[in-house]
Order: sequence, then C-alpha cells, then structure tokens
Amino acid sequence: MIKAYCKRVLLFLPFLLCYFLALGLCMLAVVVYASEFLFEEGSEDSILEVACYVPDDEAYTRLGLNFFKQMDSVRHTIDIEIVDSREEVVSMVEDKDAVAGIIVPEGFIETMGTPDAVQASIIYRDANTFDEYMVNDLIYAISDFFGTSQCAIITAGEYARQMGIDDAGANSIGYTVQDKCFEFFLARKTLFRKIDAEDLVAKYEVREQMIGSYSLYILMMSIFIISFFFRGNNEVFRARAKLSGIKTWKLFLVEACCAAVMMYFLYAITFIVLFIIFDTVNIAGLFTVIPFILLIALAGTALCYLVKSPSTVAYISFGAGTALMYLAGGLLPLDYMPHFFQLAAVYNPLYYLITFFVRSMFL
Amino acid sequence: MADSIVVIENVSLKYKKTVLTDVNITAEKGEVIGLLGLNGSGKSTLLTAIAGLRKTASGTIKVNGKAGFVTQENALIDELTAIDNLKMWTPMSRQEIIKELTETELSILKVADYIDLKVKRMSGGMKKRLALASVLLSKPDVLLMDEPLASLDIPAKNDIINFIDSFRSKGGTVFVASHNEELFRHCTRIYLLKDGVSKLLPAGASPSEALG
Repeated sequence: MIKAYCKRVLLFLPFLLCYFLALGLCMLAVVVYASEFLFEEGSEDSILEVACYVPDDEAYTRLGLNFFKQMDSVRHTIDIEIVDSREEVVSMVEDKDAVAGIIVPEGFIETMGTPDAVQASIIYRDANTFDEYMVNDLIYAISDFFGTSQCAIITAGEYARQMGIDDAGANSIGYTVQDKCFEFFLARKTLFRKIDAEDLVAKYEVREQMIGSYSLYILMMSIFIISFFFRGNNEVFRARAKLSGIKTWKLFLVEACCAAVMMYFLYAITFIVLFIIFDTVNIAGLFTVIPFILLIALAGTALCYLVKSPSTVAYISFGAGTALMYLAGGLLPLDYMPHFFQLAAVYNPLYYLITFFVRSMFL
Repeated sequence: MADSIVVIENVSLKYKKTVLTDVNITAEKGEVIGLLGLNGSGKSTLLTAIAGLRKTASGTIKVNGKAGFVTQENALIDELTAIDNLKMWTPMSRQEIIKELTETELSILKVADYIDLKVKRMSGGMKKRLALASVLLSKPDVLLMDEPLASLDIPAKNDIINFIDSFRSKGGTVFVASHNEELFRHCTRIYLLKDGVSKLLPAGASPSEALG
C-alpha cells in the first residue's frame, strides 16, 4: 500500500506544482507591491524629491531646513532639493520631478513672530503612491506646526504688550517662545512613528512577514488541493481496508505522511527561490519547518476524514483559512489594519503560527 | 443452521432515519441471496452493516468468515494502473497477482487483459470487474455486491453473472442488492425489503410483481 501511495504522490506532484506556481505568482505580485509600504534606505523609489526655493538672505531658513533634513523620519523618505528660483519649483512639480514644492518668501524667519508674518507656499501634485501621500501629509503637518508656532509667538508678544511691557520686551518674549518652539521641534525627531530604517530591520521585517505568511498560506491552501488525494474516510475504502486487515489509523497516517511530503516539496521550492533572492533566508528553515508541515498535514488529513466531500473540505480550508489568515495579519500587515483588528489578532492562533513560521524561515 | 455463514436476527438499522426495523436473514454456504426493494428501502444500508461498516440499532449480525464488499462506487485510484490498484491491498507480487487472475475463477473477469491500463482510461465495466477482482484477491467467504450490474453492457453483465455462479459453486456466499430480473434468476433466495421488514419471496415469484 505504501508503494502505491508513493507512486500516487509522484503522479500528483506535477498537478500540485502547477497550483503552487499559479498561487505563488499571485502572492509574489502582492509581496512586490507590498514593498511600496516600506521605507527603503538608498532606494530611488522610496526617497521622494521635494523642490524648495529659499531666498539667498534666508540663512536661518536654510539652517532650519538642514536640521529638518537630518530628522530620521525625513532623511529616509524625502530628498529636499534647493533650487534657484520659484519658477523652477513649479516646473519640477509640474514635470513630476518632485512630489511637492516649497517656496519660502523673503523675510520668512524675521516676520515669523509678528502679526505681519509672511507665509511659505506649498505646491502639491496628485499623490499616486503611499510614499507620496506620506510626504504630502508630512509637509502639511510641518506647515501646520509652523502655523501653530506662529500663533503661539504672536499671542505671547501681544499678551506681553497688554501687560504693559514695552515693544522691545514683548519682542524678546516672542523670540523666547519662538526659540522654545524650535527647541521642541528639533527635539521631536519622532514626529511620526519611527521605524528603524537605519539598521534595515524594519524593511525586512514587513517583507519577511509577508513572504513568510504567504508561504504559510499557500501551504494551508494546498490542503484543499490535496483533499482530492484523500480517500481514507470513503466508505468503500474503509471496507476494502477492513477486508485486507489494514487499520483505519494506518491509512490515516500513510495519507498524512503523503500530504506532508507533498507540502514539504512545495516549501522546498519556495525556500530555494527565496534563498537565491534574499540574503536573510535561514538555511536551517529547511528543517525547522518540518513540525509546521506535519501539523498542517495532520490537521488537513483529519479535516478530510471528518468531512467526506472534497468540495466541502475546499470550502472550509479556503474560507476559514483565508479569514483567519487575514485576521492574523497574514495577508495584510496588522499595522495597516483597524485598531480593533490589531487587538483581536492576539487571540488568533494563526497569529502565533505566522510569527514562529517567519522566525523559522529567516535569520 | 450448522453451515450458516451469515445470520441476521431482528436487526433494525438507522441511516438518517430508521430504514429497517426487523430484518431476519440466514445465509448458508454456496447461496446467492438477492435483496429486492425500492430505492431507499435499506438494501445498501443492510449490506454496509453486514460488511461491519455500520452498527445496528438493535439485533445482531454474525458473519462467520471474511466479508468482501463491492459497492456501486469503487475503491479504485484513478491515477494508478490496474496492477498498482491491486497491489495496494495485497502483499502479493505482480506475477502472483497475474497468476491468480488467469488461473483461478477470477479469469472469468478478464482483468489480466488490461492489467497495465490506468483506471481513468477504463470503461465502467472494466472498473467494476477490477473492483471485484481487488476484493476477491483477499479471498472473502462472503461477497456483498451493491447493484453489481448497474450501467454495464451485456458482455460485462454476463461476466459478472458467470463469476457469481462460479463463486457460489465453490462454496462462496453472495448477497446482491439489485433491480435486475436476470440476476435474481441466479439467486437461491430473494428477500423483499419493504416498510423496514424483510420478507422471503416464494420460489418462482416475480420480483417486479412483488415490488408492486
């Protein structure tokens, strides 16, 4: 019987491989697209150009910009290019050489704390990618911050005047508030949630998470393909096994082992491809995955024994598997899901399975 | 009763709802017992109970020997050849299997003619004969056959009927559930399953008339 089953596995593998390739290609497309969500140091795609015009006499503004460019959340995302004229800012945005443009007027810093403060202009174009949206939001938030700072400075100066302090004293108070605002601004290097792009952990974490969880998903989904392989709970098969003196549990084990071998075959192919592409793939993953595959194969075989119809097995494994995988953050990173889903994920056993699976696969 | 190989006493069986309430059948060696009844009357359910695949709600079923069950479906694996399917259930080698198929009463089934053909390329009749041969390699004492002639052409039907006669002549016992008048002519006794009760038809009675 074991020989016959081995033969069946060999005959079944090409079919399984076709399924795997089809699903794998779909998943690969999603994973590649998922890189759009990431900050990638040194990648031309993720560092977006922002054009900026600053008049020659705006030394303070240039100094402020240099501080701004050094912020973690900025330097891995935006390249601020100082241009020579206002017109150049506009043309760069129009030509899509820059995602946004900033035009700083003369006297921007000097008038910042006064009622006569001049405003900087920000030119946007339509954002198409997640990164572009983020940059636009970042610029908008900083603009908002400057506006709020100006209000604080002006209010402080006005209040000082109403308290009977002369203009020089009121201006001095205004400048003190201005200094404090800048102090706060420069200290706030994590204006946005900080992802450690510097040590490259974050970008791999999300990508590895996606690749790992998609590999696991493909393995889980293979249950419904493999379900057509199972015959053990078929009444006729049981009758035949009974007549030959073969126990049902032996039939179950043989089928579960066959399923595990087929799943391991799929995994090994995935692993070799990933090993060639990524330098963080852990070679030990070829062995550490075995318990996972045995677990999935046993669960799949048990499901096929409980549910006799292969199509029902397909509905259950596809429906429940996809829903649980989604809720565990296996199809879309939890960071991009509603807060409630993020909280609920810790009660999902697949959440932990994905974590362990990813850890076993990557360094 | 000394030679009784199957004894069914006061058996009631449930399948989704109660289908059989009081079945009493005794089969001796060398008998062919026909089970007659309308669809849903419990013929297949009774055969699965005799095969030991279903528990009785009450009463007892005793089988003194090995029971081989040939159902309307088959236990064959489509991707494999006939010989691989046969080897799946027996420790015998290819040569031993071919010898069995050609030199015993199994030769009636002519399975050796397509021993290397994949099941998915076989006709319904070939599959039925292969399934029967697969069961018979385990040398059962009692053969349980559910609609053995369904969707078969005339030569295939004749092969199956000839085999049943041969099996019986060598002391084997056969239970057949069928609607086929011709097959019933080869039965030693015919039981009508109606309203959950088994009733022995008198010798010479027409099965179709008994069904009403």
